[in-house]
Amino acid sequence: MVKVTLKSAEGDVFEVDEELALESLMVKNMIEDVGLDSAISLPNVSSTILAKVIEYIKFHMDAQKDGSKKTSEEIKAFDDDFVNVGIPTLFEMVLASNYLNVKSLLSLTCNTVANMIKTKPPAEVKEMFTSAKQAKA
Amino acid sequence: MGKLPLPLELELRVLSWVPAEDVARLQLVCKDWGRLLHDPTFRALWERQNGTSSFLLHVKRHARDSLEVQFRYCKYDPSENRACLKQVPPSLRSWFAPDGSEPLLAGGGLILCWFPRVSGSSGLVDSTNRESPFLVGNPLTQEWVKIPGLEVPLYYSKRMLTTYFDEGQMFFRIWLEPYSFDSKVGIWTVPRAVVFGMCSYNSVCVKGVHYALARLHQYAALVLLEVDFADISRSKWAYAWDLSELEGTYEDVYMLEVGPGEIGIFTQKMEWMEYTTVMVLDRQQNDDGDLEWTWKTVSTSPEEDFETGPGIIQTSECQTHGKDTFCVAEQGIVRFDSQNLTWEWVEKGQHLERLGLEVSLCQPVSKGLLCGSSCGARILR
Repeated sequence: MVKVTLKSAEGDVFEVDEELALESLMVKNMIEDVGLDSAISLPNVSSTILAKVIEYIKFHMDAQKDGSKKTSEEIKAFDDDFVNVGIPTLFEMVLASNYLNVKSLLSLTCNTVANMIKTKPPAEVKEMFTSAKQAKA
Repeated sequence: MGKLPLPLELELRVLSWVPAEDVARLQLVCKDWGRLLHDPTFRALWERQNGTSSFLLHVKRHARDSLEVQFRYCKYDPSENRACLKQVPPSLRSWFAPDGSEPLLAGGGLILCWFPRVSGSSGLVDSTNRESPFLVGNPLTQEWVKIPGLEVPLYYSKRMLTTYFDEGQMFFRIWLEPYSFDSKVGIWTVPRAVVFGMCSYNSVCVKGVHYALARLHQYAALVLLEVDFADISRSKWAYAWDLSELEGTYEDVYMLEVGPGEIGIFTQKMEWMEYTTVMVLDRQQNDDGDLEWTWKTVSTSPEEDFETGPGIIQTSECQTHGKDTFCVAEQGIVRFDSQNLTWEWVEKGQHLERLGLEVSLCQPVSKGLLCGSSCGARILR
């Protein structure tokens, strides 16, 4: 199995299967351009987030494989748990999945944010995101 | 920069996941979002994400003339492969129209009501009463806005009012001959030679052309119009029939697409009992090689019976969503599948009161919600 080396913003190195790395269209393009010899550096993605993204892709790849025993309930439970993080982390994941171009994760995270804001009164939405901004700053 | 700590593109993407009924509220979060959510880019993205959906509005009369407008929306449900009726959150479920008003029609995401202020015993409305009798309401913001009144003395009755809306073009029009009010123009005008009166409440878009039925004033003829929205009075006639040769009534019809690409209508028949028929346009060449178009009945609403059928359907109270047309009958809402030509109860009895029930229809939610409010604002100005 060919391995791909990904380098996070902090410089941490993640070694993953090529098959997994190709799920990110951005990484796929990079591999096509520069080949597999050097590490692919992802200056916009922190180690924590990159680890999460890899975890997500790995789970879904396993779930899609033939002979996988995962039910759709289990997959949903994983997704729900996966996005059950703080608001700042959630936004970082939206940014990372957009940057890495992982469509399914982008949909999942955007939908999660939308669900958080959809039933709240305007004032609460405002407050929620102002605090998220401050936490980030 | 909006409220989310995200680039604009992603912010739009997040907001496109928000269901229609919540988008209206989010416009109030900040000015940026108010602008963003009215933007065509957002509308296109939202539609791609959610598909279009439409409102079904119920107007329910309570004691002492108060008019409650309730709504739910129809949306395509992939698991059932058809459109379904969905409830909106309780906070948005219903709102009241000003006391004394009567519903006329909904279009362009708005519901149109009026005050039938009858003067004296003539049963006619006196337009010299300067207060505007017409109101438009937006189901999502739940606001009512007055549209300008006619500033000329004129006595009229509800029968003299013709209303019309269009799904794709998001606008409504009121005719009170010789005057007409167009929601895009925002004032009453006297159109150049009005040569026909509308017979259909709506138009239907089949293969890119909008069709509507009208009656020519000068000749006793029914015409199928290819509607030109820039100037309705200049619409081309696709075909004309001699009214004396047509059987049945072609007034007050609802237009819909039947099967793929056929122009269909709902029309009411009154024989030994009342029912609604579905007719399609049959385009044939006769022996002389001329085109001969006729209306052919393809389906009839099932007999009025609580168990089996809806009986008569108000043709002004239908809403099409894809191949499904939701119609309001006295005892509930019925779904007509225009591909298989089947009728089926969707909601029976429980929500709809037999007496005083009137229903109107609205446009695709996304358009309605975004344009409805801007349309309201334009009228306000």
